[in-house]
Amino acid sequence: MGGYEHLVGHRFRGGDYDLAGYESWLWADAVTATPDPAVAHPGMAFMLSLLGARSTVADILELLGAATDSGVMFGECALELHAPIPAAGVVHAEGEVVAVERKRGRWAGLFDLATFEHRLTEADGAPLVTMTHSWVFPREEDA
Amino acid sequence: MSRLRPGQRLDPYVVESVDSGRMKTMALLLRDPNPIHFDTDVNERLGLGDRAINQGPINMSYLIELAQRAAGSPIALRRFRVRFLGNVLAGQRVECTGVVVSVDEAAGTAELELAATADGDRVLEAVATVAVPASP
Repeated sequence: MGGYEHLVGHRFRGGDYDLAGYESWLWADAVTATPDPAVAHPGMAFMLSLLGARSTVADILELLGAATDSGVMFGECALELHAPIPAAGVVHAEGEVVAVERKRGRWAGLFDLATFEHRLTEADGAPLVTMTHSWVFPREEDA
Repeated sequence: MSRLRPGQRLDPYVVESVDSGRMKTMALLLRDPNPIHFDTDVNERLGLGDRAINQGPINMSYLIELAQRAAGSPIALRRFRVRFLGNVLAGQRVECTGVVVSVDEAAGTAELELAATADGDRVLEAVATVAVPASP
């Protein structure tokens, strides 16, 4: 089985996400923060970017040929915040695969490190957050 | 509002016991089908123990919370980079700590180094840039 390097440059469909105020409240509560009626928690950029760009966790796993119980882990995540994320309203997101590297680790064994970039904006295109994140996909050794 | 100084250690942000119920909320919000966050029977079958595993976005948000509390504003975060080093399990005690690396008075920002442990094991390392109030 070959690697997944051919996915570099793959662009997700992209699109809008209509964030409901109660979702912002629930996110803040889930991360033990205090819900704010005006602004979403910055970590919510992760959810809005993935869902808006039509690149859910399930979509990413499928794209990289990984089962939900295959031990996929996060590697790193970087956020650049250009403006506060409103607690409710329509946002827009686009995203793409920017790197896939096959690696071998002492403990992780063979794996693919896939890196994605997502750009979250207001509905009018004003930038909100640029997010780069990498995921570790364990791979079976070739027979 | 806080006045951050280089070398200053931030007040720790502690989650005394990670709540598996919050993981279920997060799974729904993220549309994340991975059962390791909500079905402990699956984790036992996979040899991952008998506790739910916290989502990465929750873990990193603990450190974001530490940074923004230190800066004194829910919109203080400008940049953030985190490395995920290990799992956080339901029921574990997470302690987030940090130190001020530098303060740029002209830019009105501070650089922070952050880390989190779960029952004493290091699980996250991060750097953050936050906006800080101008000096009087």
